[in-house]
Amino acid sequence: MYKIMLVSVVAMGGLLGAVASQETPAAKVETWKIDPVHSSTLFRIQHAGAGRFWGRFNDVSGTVDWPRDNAAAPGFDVTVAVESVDSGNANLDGHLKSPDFFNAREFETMTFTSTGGERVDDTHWKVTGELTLLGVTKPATAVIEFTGLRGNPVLAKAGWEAVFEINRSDFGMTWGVDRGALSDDVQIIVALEGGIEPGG
Amino acid sequence: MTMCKSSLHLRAASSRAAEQMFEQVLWSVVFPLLAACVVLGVVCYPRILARHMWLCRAAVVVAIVIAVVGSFFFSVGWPTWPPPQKWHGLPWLVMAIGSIGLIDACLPRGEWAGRVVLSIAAGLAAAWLLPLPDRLAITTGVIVGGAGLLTSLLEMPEQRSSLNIGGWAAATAMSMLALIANQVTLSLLAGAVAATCAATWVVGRILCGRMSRGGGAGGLVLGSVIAVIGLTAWSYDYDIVPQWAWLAAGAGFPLACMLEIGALKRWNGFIAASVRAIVLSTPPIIVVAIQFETVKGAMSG
Repeated sequence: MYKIMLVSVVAMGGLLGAVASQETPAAKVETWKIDPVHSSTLFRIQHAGAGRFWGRFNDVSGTVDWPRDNAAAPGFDVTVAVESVDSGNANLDGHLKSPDFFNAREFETMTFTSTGGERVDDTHWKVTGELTLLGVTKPATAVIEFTGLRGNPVLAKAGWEAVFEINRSDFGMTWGVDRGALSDDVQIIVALEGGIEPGG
Repeated sequence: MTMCKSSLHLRAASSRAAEQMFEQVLWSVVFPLLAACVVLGVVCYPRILARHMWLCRAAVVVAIVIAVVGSFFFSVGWPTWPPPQKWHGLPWLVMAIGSIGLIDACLPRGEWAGRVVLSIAAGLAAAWLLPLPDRLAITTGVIVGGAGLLTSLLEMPEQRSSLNIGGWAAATAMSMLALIANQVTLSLLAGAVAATCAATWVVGRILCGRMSRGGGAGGLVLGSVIAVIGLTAWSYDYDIVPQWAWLAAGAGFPLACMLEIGALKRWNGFIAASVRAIVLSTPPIIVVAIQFETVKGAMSG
């Protein structure tokens, strides 16, 4: 009897061990649709060599390809409508939309499409891709922070925050650079919330 | 104490902003204007050169082109080909119109058929080099060519110093409208043209003996360039400036054509010149007067 019990325990243990040693299958990459209401794009620039002022774009859309286990870098395809620029001052918004800056009549959007990424730590990725502004496409790198995941396999929300540092003159936006009216370097912060919905 | 400190900081920041605005105007208007004046002076001052009427007229053409292209260079940089943005075709177009304007300057005074052909060439160049957003190329061509033809024909009978004043008024109005439409670079470009028209008039007064015989107002180039800048600013405007204002800013030229019909064409002298100047300047002055409060508001951005 003892022998049978011993054999059973050893067999169970072996079975459990075999199950435990098996690798967890990697989560599949899902396409997360950006929620424009809970996503923001902000930019920061130095004015007159003095203060830094912030502005935002109110219309962000696109998708993020990402596995829920965060095992691979998120793949971004983000579009920002340039006409949605909002600095809190109507005249300044008009100037930002004018040919001096974003030239919104000609170039309605700016886009970022990622091409790859490397892990920095558990929550951060360094993502490379192509940024298109004023019709000029240049390689750009952003530090991405994975900010959270909530939900279930059917309904879920996930968040990321990307920080870009660019020189606007690389894209042909030169107004005020030479004489220091506005700095050349701009920080762009994109906070995204993506969602998965049934049938989505 | 804190209040005093923050007030000092505020004053320093506002003086820095004013300093930068002054610097921008200096580089984009004053320096191109000085370059234009040098050309006018060098060509029109020496008696030997000033004897050639076409040379003085050509000097004004070159001065206007230098003012616009110089202002573009100081605001945006060297024009590149192909233009990376549609409105960056503007300096190329102005150089092309300048080349056509040099031929216009060499034509005999009564040669109206040649001037029509040159205006068509200017219109075609505009249609090709300045594909403005939401505007048909043919519309751009007709407006630019038509404006060039008007000023070319207005300059034809004899040197009209009133045309300099009309050009100054129209370009000033365009500059203010572009500023209201939040287009600072185009506003500075129009400002450079206005300053050059004023300088041409002043140089004409100083060198009256020589300039009044041989000088000019830029002929085809004057009207075409003002139309090019105004049309570009209008195309990028988000309906901030009413459409009538863009049209009225340049309405002095077609109005002045009425003074070139029949017996009025031979009406000369101080009073005739004054009436012509008033007719040319009244529409743009009305535009500036009506839009003046809006300009002050636009400065706050």
